[in-house]
Amino acid sequence: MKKILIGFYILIIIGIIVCISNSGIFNSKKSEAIAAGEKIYKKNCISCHGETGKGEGSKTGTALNSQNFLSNVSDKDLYNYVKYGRNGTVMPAYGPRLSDKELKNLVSFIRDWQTKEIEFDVPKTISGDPERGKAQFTLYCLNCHGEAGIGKEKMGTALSNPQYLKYTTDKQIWIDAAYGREETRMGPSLKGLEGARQLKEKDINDIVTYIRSLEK
Amino acid sequence: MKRITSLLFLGILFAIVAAGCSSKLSDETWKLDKKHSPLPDFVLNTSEKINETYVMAATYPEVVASVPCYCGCVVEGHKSNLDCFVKQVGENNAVTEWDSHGISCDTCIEIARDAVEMHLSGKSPNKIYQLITGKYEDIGEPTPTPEPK
Repeated sequence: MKKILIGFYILIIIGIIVCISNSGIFNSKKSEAIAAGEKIYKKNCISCHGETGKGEGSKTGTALNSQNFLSNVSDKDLYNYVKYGRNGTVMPAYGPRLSDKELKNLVSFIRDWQTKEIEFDVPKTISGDPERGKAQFTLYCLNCHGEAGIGKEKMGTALSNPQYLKYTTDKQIWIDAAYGREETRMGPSLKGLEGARQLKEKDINDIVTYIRSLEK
Repeated sequence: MKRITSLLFLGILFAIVAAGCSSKLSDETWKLDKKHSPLPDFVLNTSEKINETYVMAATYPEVVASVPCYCGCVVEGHKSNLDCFVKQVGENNAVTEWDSHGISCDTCIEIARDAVEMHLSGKSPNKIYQLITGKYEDIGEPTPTPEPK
């Protein structure tokens, strides 16, 4: 009798799980978050990042809808980028203005632009010569990213910015440098890809090491 | 006999398609004219594509100068795509000083190459301007390059 009851309970639990998973309750929650995030985006972000998230162009903001960018950052990274902003740049910290839930909804909306997940080839260890990296940076990156990575409005991200360096890993910087962001001013730099620069892995390691050395 | 004719026809067709698809840029031998200042090390130490594009800009300065650049270099006072490659020009359009901006800028390189290719394909300066504007205007702010008549 006990065994029959246990079996009955298990069947009921399985039934409940199947019903919930088929009800689309999670999807509808996700859709709600995206819709709520869209409202926040339109109010706070659209002027710099544009309606479609392409940013760039005549806008100041980075291209948030870039598939390379979205494949290179986690939801937590996006959350931190928005919450803490970038001091001394046009990207303010939204932490004091938006609640935790609003920030998460905004991240859901941005994430919804991702249509594919790109796998990047990255060296296992990213370590190089900062002096050589500085020389390479001066040659290939300074024109857009400014002296010592200070950044240039409408040209290149402030790479020496403390919030950028705090919430961006060496691997992510390496991917950005090597693969760039499609349909933006930032083309790929890695040898063998379509970009003009054709840098070796070692060159990019050195550049990343130099950029990391700018962290104070 | 029928088979040979078919093969011949296919061969001709392939040759026509291949000729149509080949870039006008690859038909040219890009060699810097002696009237120009030699390419500096910052260009020579970069990729073949960048080297080639600097030579193109020096060879067809009027073409590259007639199209805007959209990389954002307008904030640096650039007036056209040519300013990304050439800093100063002397008599007879001879480059006397090169600009390092182009070696790090994919947008500048692509615009210059597209413009020269269109010129070699026989397009008018105005048509080139229109096509470049249409292709790159989403990338960034343009330089104040006047539209050719």
